[in-house]
Amino acid sequence: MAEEQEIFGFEYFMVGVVPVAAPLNSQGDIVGTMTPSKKTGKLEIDMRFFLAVHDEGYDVVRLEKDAFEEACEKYYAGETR
Amino acid sequence: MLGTIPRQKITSLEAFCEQAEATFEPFVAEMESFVEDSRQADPEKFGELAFHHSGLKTREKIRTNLFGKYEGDVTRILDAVRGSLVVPGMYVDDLVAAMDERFARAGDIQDRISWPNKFGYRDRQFFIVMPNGHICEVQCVSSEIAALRKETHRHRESANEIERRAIKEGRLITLEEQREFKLFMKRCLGLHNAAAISSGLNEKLAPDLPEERRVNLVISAFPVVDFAEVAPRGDNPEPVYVVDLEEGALDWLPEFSKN
Repeated sequence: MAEEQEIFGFEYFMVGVVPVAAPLNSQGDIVGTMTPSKKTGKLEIDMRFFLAVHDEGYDVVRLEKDAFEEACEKYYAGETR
Repeated sequence: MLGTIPRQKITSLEAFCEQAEATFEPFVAEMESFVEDSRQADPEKFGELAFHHSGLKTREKIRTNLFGKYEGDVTRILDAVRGSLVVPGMYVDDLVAAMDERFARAGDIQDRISWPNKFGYRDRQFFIVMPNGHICEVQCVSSEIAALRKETHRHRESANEIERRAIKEGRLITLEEQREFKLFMKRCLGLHNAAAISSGLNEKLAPDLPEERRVNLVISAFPVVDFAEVAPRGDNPEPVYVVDLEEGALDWLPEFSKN
């Protein structure tokens, strides 16, 4: 069975209009991406943005935690467009 | 710093795709004409200028991005019509200036030469407005970086596969995948950085680029085994990096790097 990675923190981004949290391992490496789910109201694993947060294209913006949480609230309310 | 990112005016997907299809050929013609004129106007700087494109983005890909990251907001799609202009690294700034003079620019130039991405890739992205109002993306790339595309693409495919598997299985990447991914990143970073050094692009790094990223870039061009930051010593307030190089590396490192 594949070894799972322990999470030690997060980096935060907006990718397009989607708030994305990127869990970090003990070495500070991004090990995945999570997005707010409108169904559950929680962050869920959503790996579609894993490479995007490394590419740092023009539609990827780094956020502080507070700004990310605010973006999530807007996202749940459908106000991020 | 991202600055202003432009938006398309059209809001309907169907109308947008039709506009993109109508824009593609005139865009290619415009770029080819720019290349020809620039070569003639300044053969020393632009004699090797070239334009590349990989065709119009398919409706399927447009749709994937539209609903994947833009929540259906068509105005945010800027790369349906795009291409790249390639010139030796020392003339990238001249190329951007020449484009700014010739084309109607939308938004700010996105600068991944001052702020390379995590793979060490460098370009400047320029958005131009065509006469019908469609915004197209042009990447200004140094020929030294562009020459690596074939090799980095091979590594990129491995990374895509890691992402695809994780998406399918709805999980974070495993420890084994992490090792593979880091190796891929290190290779790309090393390749891009070596090209950036040889073409003078590292002299254009942003002064406020985080120290950790700057150090990663600098050491990536060398056969480093490991490195660590240690506390400043004596009167020197700068952080000190202990770099563990492969055996024999010091024999060929340039003098400045040994410091």
